[in-house]
Amino acid sequence: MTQVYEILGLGTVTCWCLFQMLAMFCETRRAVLISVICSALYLIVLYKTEFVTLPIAIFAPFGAMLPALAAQNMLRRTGADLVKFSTVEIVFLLSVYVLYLAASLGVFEFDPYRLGYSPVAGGIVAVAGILYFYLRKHWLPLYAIILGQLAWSFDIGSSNFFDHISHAVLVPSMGVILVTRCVSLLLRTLK
Amino acid sequence: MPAFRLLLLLAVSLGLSVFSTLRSQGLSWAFAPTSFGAPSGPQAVPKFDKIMEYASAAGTAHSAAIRPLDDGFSILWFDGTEEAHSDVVIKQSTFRLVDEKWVSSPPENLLVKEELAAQSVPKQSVWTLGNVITGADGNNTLFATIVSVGGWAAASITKVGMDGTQISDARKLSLSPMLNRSHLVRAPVVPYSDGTTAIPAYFEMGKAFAELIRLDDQGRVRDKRRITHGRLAIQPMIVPLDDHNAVALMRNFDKKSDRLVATWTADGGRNWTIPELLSDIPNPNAPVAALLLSDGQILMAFNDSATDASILKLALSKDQGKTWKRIKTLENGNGSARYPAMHRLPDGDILLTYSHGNKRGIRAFVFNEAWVFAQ
Repeated sequence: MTQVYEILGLGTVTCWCLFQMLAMFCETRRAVLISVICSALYLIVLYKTEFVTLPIAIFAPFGAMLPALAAQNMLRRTGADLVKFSTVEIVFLLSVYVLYLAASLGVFEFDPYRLGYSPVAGGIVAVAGILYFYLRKHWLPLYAIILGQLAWSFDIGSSNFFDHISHAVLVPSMGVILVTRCVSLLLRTLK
Repeated sequence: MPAFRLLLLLAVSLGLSVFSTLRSQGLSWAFAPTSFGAPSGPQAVPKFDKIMEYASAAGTAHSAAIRPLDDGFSILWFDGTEEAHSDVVIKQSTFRLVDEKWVSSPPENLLVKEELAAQSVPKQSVWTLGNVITGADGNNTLFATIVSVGGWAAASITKVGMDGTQISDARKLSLSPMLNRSHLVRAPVVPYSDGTTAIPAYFEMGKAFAELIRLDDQGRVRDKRRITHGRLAIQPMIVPLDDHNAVALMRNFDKKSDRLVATWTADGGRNWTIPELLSDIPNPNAPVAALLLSDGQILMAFNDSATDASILKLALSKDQGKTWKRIKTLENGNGSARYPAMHRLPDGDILLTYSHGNKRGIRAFVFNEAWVFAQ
C-alpha cells in the first residue's frame, strides 16, 4: 500500500505542475483534463524507470496534505466552490512550518518532529487540524488529515504522522504564493 | 458542512488515535544486559591473531562493520573506485571456525544499489551506498546509508531485510521532515531489554548532531532522542554500562576543536548530559569503536592524534570514559587507519576491524581480554 500511496502522491503533484504550465496557454478545464491524462500515462508507462523512481527517491514521503492542496488549487481554478487560503493564514502557517523545520533540523534544542511518532501527540495535532480546517471551511485539507491519520495508523507511508500532513515543498510553494499576491497588490496600487 | 459531519470526523480521528495507541508498542528504556564473565580456561591465555588483510581491487575499501552469524561472523565494508562513487557495493567476507582458526570465504557482494533500488518500498533510485551496520538479530537485518542524489548530507538510512545474501525487503526509515534527508549510520545498534533496538545515527546537514533512533520489533521508528546539541558531533559509539547508564563517544565534527566528544545518559538514552570534550583524547575528525570489558572497563580503538589518522591505538577507561590509559599502538604512520569496529564473539573473544592504507583495504584481528589485561 505504501507504493500506491506514494505513487498517487507523485501523480497528483505532477498533475498540478503540468496544470500550472498548461493553464498559461489553454482553457482551465482543458488544462486539468490534459494534465490528468498525461500524469496517468507518465506513471503507467515510466513506472519502473528513473523518471518515476528518482522523484520518489527525492520527494517521498509525499503524505496526504501536499497532494490535497495541489488538488484543491486545481479544482478551485476550475470553478469549484472551495475557499482560498487567505494571505494572513499563509503567513501564519508558513511561519509555524519554518520554525518547525528549523527546530527539527537542529537550530533549537527541542525537536518537534519527534512528537510525530507518538499516537497521543499525533492525535492531538490531528484534532486541532480538523477543527481549524472545519472553521475555515478548507474541506480538502480537512479530509487529508483523516486520510493521513488512516495511512499512519496502518503503517502506510512514513511512521511519523507529521510527514502525512506536511511536506518541505510547501515552504517554497507558500513563498511563491505570497510573492505573487504582493506583486498583484503592488500592481493594483500603482494603477 | 453540518455539525454532525464534524462530530463524525472527530470521532473517526479519535478512533484512529485510540487504535494507534493500542497498537503501538511501549518501549523499554532499559539496556539489555551486557555482563561477561572474567577470562578463564582458554580465555585466560593471551591471544592476538590477525585474521584478515584485504586490499580492494577497485581502489577503495572502507567503513568495516561486523555481522554476527549463527556459526561465525561476516565483516562488511563498502568497496568501489572511490567513496560515494556510483560503483560502490557492500562486500562481505564470512568467517567460520575450522580447527580453532578463523577461516574466511572470498569476498562477495552483499548489497548492490540496483537490487536495493528494486526491492525498496516505494521503488526508488539509489545513486551510491555508504556505511552499513547490522541489526541486533545480525543475520537478517542491515541498516544501510544510501544516497539517491547529492552527497552524504543528503543521505538516508534504509532498513534492509536479508534472506541469506538476498534482499527480502527494504524501506527508508522516516527520520527528518526535510525530504527525509541527512541521516547516516556508523556504530553498532544498541539492544534493549524488551528485545527492541536503537540505532546510533547522526544528522550531517548544517548543525550536525547525533541521535538515538528507537525502533519497534517491526523495525519502524517509534521515537528518537538527540544525543548532542550545541556541539558538532557525529557517529556516536554508544557503550551501555548497565541497565540505564551509557556513554556515547563521538567524532568531533567541529573545526574549532580537536578532542573526542563524550556524553552520558542515566536513563537508558532518553536524556544525555551536555557534550564534553575529552581533554586527553585528540580526535582527527574520525569515529571510534568501544565495548565494555568483564571488569567494567571500557576498551576503545581510536586515532590518537588531532591531525593524523594513521595512528590507531587501543585505550582503557576505568571511569566510564572520562579518562583513558593507552595500552597498545596498532597502526603508526602507514596511511590512515580509520573507522574501527569492535564486536564481542560468543566465546568472549573480541573482533576488531578497520580500514587501512588510506581506505585501500580492510584489516581484522581477534584477541581476548587476557591479552588486553596483559598490555
